[in-house]
Amino acid sequence: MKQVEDSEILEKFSNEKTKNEAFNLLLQKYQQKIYWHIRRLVIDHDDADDLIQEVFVKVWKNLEKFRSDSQLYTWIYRIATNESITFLNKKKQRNNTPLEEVSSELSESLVASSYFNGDKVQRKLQEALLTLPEKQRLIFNMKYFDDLKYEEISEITGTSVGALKASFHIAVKKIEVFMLNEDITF
Amino acid sequence: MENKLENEEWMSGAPEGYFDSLSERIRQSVFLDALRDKVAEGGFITPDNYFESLPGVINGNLFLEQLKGSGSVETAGFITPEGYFSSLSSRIVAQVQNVDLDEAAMAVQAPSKHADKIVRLWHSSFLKYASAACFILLSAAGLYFYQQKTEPVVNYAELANEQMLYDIDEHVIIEHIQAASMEEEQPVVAAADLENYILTNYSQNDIASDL
Repeated sequence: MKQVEDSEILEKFSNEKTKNEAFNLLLQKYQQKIYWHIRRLVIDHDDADDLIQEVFVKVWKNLEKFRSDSQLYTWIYRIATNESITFLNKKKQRNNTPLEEVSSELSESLVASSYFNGDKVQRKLQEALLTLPEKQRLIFNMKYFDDLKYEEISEITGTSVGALKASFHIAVKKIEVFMLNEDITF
Repeated sequence: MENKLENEEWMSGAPEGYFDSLSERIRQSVFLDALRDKVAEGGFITPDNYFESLPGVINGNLFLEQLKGSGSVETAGFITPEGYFSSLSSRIVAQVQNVDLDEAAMAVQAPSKHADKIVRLWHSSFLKYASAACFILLSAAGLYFYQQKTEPVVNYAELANEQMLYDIDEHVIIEHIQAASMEEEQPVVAAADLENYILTNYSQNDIASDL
């Protein structure tokens, strides 16, 4: 199926008659990528499901105001990232738990989840990721799983490319040490 | 003769046109040699500790390549309920339509919000407090200057009395004061008051016996 260009989506969205059609095209093009991005942050499928709906409602409300000074994808990505971080922060505040315990909760959610069927390596990788600071985990996910360029990640997070590179490589080192300590080899 | 023959043999072994370009190539070599002396590294620099950290970075990338090779990257072990993505779009569209309906309902319920333009007198708290402070300062300044401008009330009657006393001889004043003080020491009691006192405090028998 041929991917629709963002410019075509935006043009159709600006027209009341084709607005709904444009939004459906947008969903077809980006919903899975955005879902997986959110899911890797919040772990639980139901939480990711709630968040993705909230994200695209926000996209619907604000797409008219979207300025083409950034890519459409990175704009949607940024909304999804902010919503996910806000969700995790609210979770911390609601339970009055420090950050380490939220990571522990997410790790337990991973273990208990019926929607995780990864092998030992994938499970250990997720456990390793949950030991990272939130922002470092976010940057790693975007670089490793979504294969975004540093410039795109910089647009999304507002962090400089140099800082992103440093953060990513530190994250890789930590994951490597974690995996080795868990006797995970390839 | 033999030398000349040997040279001719040697020259015939060189590539065609070799000697035609030789001088130019020698000249270029001399130029590059001189250039290297002045510009050793081309002016490029690297970040601090770049080469120290480079092996770690490369090893990290190799680790990631191995990790990618061991399993699915995109999902990383996460799965979704069956048919999840096929129904996701319609659920999101339904949510969006609900939001639109809610906003439309709110607009109908509160039309005056759009019809009446409310102009705020105070655009910010700072403006409000600044105005109050100015009003207080102006009032205080006005009150202060009003008090300064008010003329003192002069008691002309007192001044006149003081002038009269100044004009009268002091001996006359002293005699007047002494006479007044003697009258105070011997107050004059009215006859009626005396009679009342006697009738109140003494009985008729006491009065008759004294008479």
